[in-house]
Amino acid sequence: MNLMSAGHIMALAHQTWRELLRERLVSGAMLASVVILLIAIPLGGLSLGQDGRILADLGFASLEVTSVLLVIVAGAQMLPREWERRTSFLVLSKPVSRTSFLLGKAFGLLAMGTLLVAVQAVILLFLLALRGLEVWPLLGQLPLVLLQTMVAASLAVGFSAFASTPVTLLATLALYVTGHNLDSLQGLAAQLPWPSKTLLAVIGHILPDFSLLDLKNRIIHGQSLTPGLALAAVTHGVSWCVLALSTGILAFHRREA
Amino acid sequence: MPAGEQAIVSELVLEASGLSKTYAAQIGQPARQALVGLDLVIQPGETFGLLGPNGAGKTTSQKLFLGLARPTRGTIRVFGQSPENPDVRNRIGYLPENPYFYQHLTGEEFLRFCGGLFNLPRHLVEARTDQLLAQVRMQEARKVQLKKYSKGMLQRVGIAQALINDPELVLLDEPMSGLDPVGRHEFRELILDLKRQGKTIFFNSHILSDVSEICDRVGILVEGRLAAQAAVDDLKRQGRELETLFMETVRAPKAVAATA
Repeated sequence: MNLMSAGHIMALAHQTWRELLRERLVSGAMLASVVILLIAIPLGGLSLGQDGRILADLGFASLEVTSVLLVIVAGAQMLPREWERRTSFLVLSKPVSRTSFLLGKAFGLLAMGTLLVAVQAVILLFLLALRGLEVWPLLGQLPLVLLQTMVAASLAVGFSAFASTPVTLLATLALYVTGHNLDSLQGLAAQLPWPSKTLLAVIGHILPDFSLLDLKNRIIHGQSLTPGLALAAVTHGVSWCVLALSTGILAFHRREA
Repeated sequence: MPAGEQAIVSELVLEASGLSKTYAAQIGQPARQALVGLDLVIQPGETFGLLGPNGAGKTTSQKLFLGLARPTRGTIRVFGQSPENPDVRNRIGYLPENPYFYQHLTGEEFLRFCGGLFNLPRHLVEARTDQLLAQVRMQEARKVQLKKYSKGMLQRVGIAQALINDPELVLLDEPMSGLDPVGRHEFRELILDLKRQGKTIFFNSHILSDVSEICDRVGILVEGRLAAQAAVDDLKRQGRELETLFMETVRAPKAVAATA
């Protein structure tokens, strides 16, 4: 039995990419994110003085939040909408496995996330270069922003295989926000009595650690990104992508028309 | 086995045995029996029409044949295999009841996309896209997005996508619904043409005159049960109208109707 086909995945990824590109929500959000960068950097420069590092910090934060939010919103709608509009019936009536279907949709979204990050990064780096900041050392942060976007997209697609759009949105956003604040969560756990302490500590260990993928302060402030740190971030991010998509595939196999 | 014998032992296109489907209860909705103990065999080259009132289980049957839903009880074999095996669906073309397609694609993009899902070579997809768009008279609208198509145009492009892989079995769910008389006539001619090509056709319909004209055999589903089956030629020989059989069957759902 044909469980997965590269041809099907490519065809579905291409279709998803084209659908997202033609969608007003995505094109509007992309335009808005560019406008935010174009306004935020010069204005930030005026209010914050000439500290380029703060501007870089602000720019990367804006880039990251916009990209992550957009893939979460688009990803949360993706599979429920296919099911609601019954377009999934058409695709699954062809020799396409459910694994290929979900991966095709996910890869289309990941490609869109990559485009979002790339477009914003070119504009951000151009603006920072205009302000006299050396941009080459900052490039190291881009793969990590991309990885965060991919983890968020995979979580959204994984959840949307079995949950509704609002539940997927809430769950993915909650994981993203909590994942950036695991240190605070562990700190809070330490102050609580048992069993809340243990429960919170366990939760803190099993959630995706987005702060591990957020090394912009380190990079912007000139500290080196060691191979060990980079490897840990990539391993953590890729593992979460695989885990989220695998869970989604398992759930999607159980769904019926 | 000698070649002669091999030709005689032809593969059944579709075989359902004791097929039942119950949709589980959901919040505010009780469990629903959509199909009860369906036994059905479709031979190669046959045109079978499944009739029945709304909610009789016609669409559910097609979903089960395609592996889109799983039976609660019973078995289905399509070309001798489980419909959940994606490879089986290489030999099937399907037109859903209401054309739910990707609205942002143009007609030709949509056909290319569907061709890609069969892993057909690019040149073949291009050739079949041109041929099918001509066959369903949609060349002029080929570069128009599907969201701008009328119901009839969607139905035409829908049948084109169902034929992109040159299928042996064509499943059509209410193919004539929403079409004007001209559209219905053209669609009927198209199905008759497929029949002449030796395709096996299984279609659900409400429109008895079309079914009577096109089909070799009909089945009538009532409340999920196959209440009657008849060969159209036998009905004609007996001087019985399909409409009469249909009305008698629908009005006496619990009775086991005679097979003509």
